[in-house]
Amino acid sequence: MRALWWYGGLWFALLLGSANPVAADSAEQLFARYEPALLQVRVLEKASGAKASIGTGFVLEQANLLVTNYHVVSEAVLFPDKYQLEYLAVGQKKGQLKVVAVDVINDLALVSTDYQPEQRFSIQPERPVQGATIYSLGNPHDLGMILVPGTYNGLQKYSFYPRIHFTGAVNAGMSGGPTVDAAGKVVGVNVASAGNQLGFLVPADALQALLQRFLKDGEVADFKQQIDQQLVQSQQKMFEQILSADWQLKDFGPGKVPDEVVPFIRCWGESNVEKNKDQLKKVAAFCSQSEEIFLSQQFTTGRIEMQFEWLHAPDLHPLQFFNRYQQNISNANPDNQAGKEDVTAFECQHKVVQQPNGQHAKTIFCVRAYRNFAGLFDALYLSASLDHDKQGLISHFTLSGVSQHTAQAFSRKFSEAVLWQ
Amino acid sequence: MAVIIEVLNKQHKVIERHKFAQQQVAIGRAYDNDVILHDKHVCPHHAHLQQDENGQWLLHDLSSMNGSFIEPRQQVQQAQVLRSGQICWLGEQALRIYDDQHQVAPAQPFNRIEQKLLKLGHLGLIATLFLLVLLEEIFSLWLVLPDKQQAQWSRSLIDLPLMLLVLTLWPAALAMWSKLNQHEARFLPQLGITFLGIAVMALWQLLMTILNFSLDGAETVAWLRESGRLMLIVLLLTANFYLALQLTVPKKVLLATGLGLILSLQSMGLSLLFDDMRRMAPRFDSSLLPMSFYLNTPVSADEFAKASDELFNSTSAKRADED
Repeated sequence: MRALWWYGGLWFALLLGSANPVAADSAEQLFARYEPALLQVRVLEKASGAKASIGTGFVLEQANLLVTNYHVVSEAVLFPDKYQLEYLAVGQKKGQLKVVAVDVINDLALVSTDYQPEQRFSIQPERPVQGATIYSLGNPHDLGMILVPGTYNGLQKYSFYPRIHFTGAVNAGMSGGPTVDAAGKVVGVNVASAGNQLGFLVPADALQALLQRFLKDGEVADFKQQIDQQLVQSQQKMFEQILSADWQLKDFGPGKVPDEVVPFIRCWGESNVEKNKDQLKKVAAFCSQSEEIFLSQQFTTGRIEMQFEWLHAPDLHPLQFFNRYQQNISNANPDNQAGKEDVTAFECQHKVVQQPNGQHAKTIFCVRAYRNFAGLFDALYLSASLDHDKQGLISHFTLSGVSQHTAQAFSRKFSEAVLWQ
Repeated sequence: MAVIIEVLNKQHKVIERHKFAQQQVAIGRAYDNDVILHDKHVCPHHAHLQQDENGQWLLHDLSSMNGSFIEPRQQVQQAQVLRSGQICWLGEQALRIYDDQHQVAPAQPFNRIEQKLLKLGHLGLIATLFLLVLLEEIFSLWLVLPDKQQAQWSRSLIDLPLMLLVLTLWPAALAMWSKLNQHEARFLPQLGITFLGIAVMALWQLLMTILNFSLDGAETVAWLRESGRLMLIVLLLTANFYLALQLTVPKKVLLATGLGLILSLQSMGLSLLFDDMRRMAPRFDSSLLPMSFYLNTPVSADEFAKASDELFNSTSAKRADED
């Protein structure tokens, strides 16, 4: 999924010709003026010296600092023994880079450099107006620095993390590059693409905040601790909003289940009820907060997923129905990516639970802990109602990167919200 | 004093037994001998047995083409004294010679267990067990197959007799073995034992499925199921071997236990291998049955939530573990 975002569009950057003559003129000037302040950031594997990944970075006017995406430099942050960073500037000038601060929530990294171009980037404190032309800069697919003009379309509507919706192509390799207004001031940092002409930028205020914190606190000694803190704070903020919301329920079969409880959780549904062929009728609803926080190439977190299934089979014997019902809950997987080095194995409890209203449900709750980040867990919940012979309601959620308190509070609110006649 | 001559096959099983009161016995392929042999390497007049004045029997080789030998493979030059019970060969044909004073083993009482096991060969019982196993198979088909798909039903039903036939291969193999070694096949008792084992195993499985759901997938149920299954396999094999093998009882039990352990360990080893591949997926008990099968007391939502503290503590403690 992530790869799809980064490598979203195949075509890129032939838009200069389509812009009006005035913009084209200033775009040319812009590019000429700022090209020296754009660097290609390369992650090199120490053993082989080969490029592991590339991205774009830009030099800020403050204190020899370079800005790029955290996901561009993550391997060098987490595995400094294995990877090192290098930049490549105009005229094939090369040099070392060192990460000094990161913000994994907004996918930003500050990197110190000895490279000192004459012209540097400054941050635009104001947000552009909707529809303003802005210019994304970067080095797509290692083809050389380019400029892509596009339109500022405000902040993404249903996203928990503020992201600028940029109508213009942001391609792989442009990650970490700046998007500037007509005056050449940074309004956002390229971060992701969702396909043709749909790009996302981290707003400049997130960069400003990271910069302020760095100037105040200085270089970070322990990145893992800093990342841990950011994850804990971010999940707290997100779940405060979810848990304090008045959950809207929707009709679902003979019961009620939570709907889009907060704006950043989106729901879909499907069913096979009209098909005559299947004896087991299924109605399914699926809700998620699908924006992930990238930690490393094997490890993502931050997703929330809720799933509901109503199964009914009026023509089957109860034993036949329960056999199929069991198959529907026998496989459950976490929805974030993680390796053995990142998380512990899942531990589960499974019991028949009697709800306060007298309903019974086989309930399964599994937890795994993050190895490098204390106090963070992935949690998985699965519940199957048992009070009917030929129908059942499965409710399921997975949370990633949450504290024990958050997981338990969400679990309580969730199980109370699922009602069943 | 009379002499007894046993004609043996290659496995030293007795195929003919002769008793002579006279002092001299002629042995060979010609029809004027006292003992007429079939082996083509035996001469028409190969050897004769002669009793001397002390009552000892001597084997005289009549200058045969392929020679005569006595235990342990020692060629007979002209004549050789034989002990009672000793084996001798004319060419490749083995013979065992006894005098009539030779001690025989005491009579064996009827073995009660063997008698009981033999009763399982009753045809009515076998038919009932057959039917039971068949019904169990049809039940498990009925559980999973959609009834609208007639073709799939008939295909599965056609497979059933084949499955029963495959199940009879085991008792058939045992019967063959025992036929070769002790002239007694006992196929029907073996068939009865095997199908009783299969039926009890299916019943045990069913019982454990209900118990597993009732006790919320408790670990003890898994242990009980596995150890029960192992015990049933060992019991079945012991009964099979009791009738088929000529071994002492402890040896039969040992062999059955060893074979049973190998079979269970193999399936356990396979599941371990499989386990490692999907280690990252959560493992939980997903058994679902209608509420009327639940014998335990359900926990309250609060108790369930409180119990989850343990999961957080336990996984937190394992953060630094290598595995």
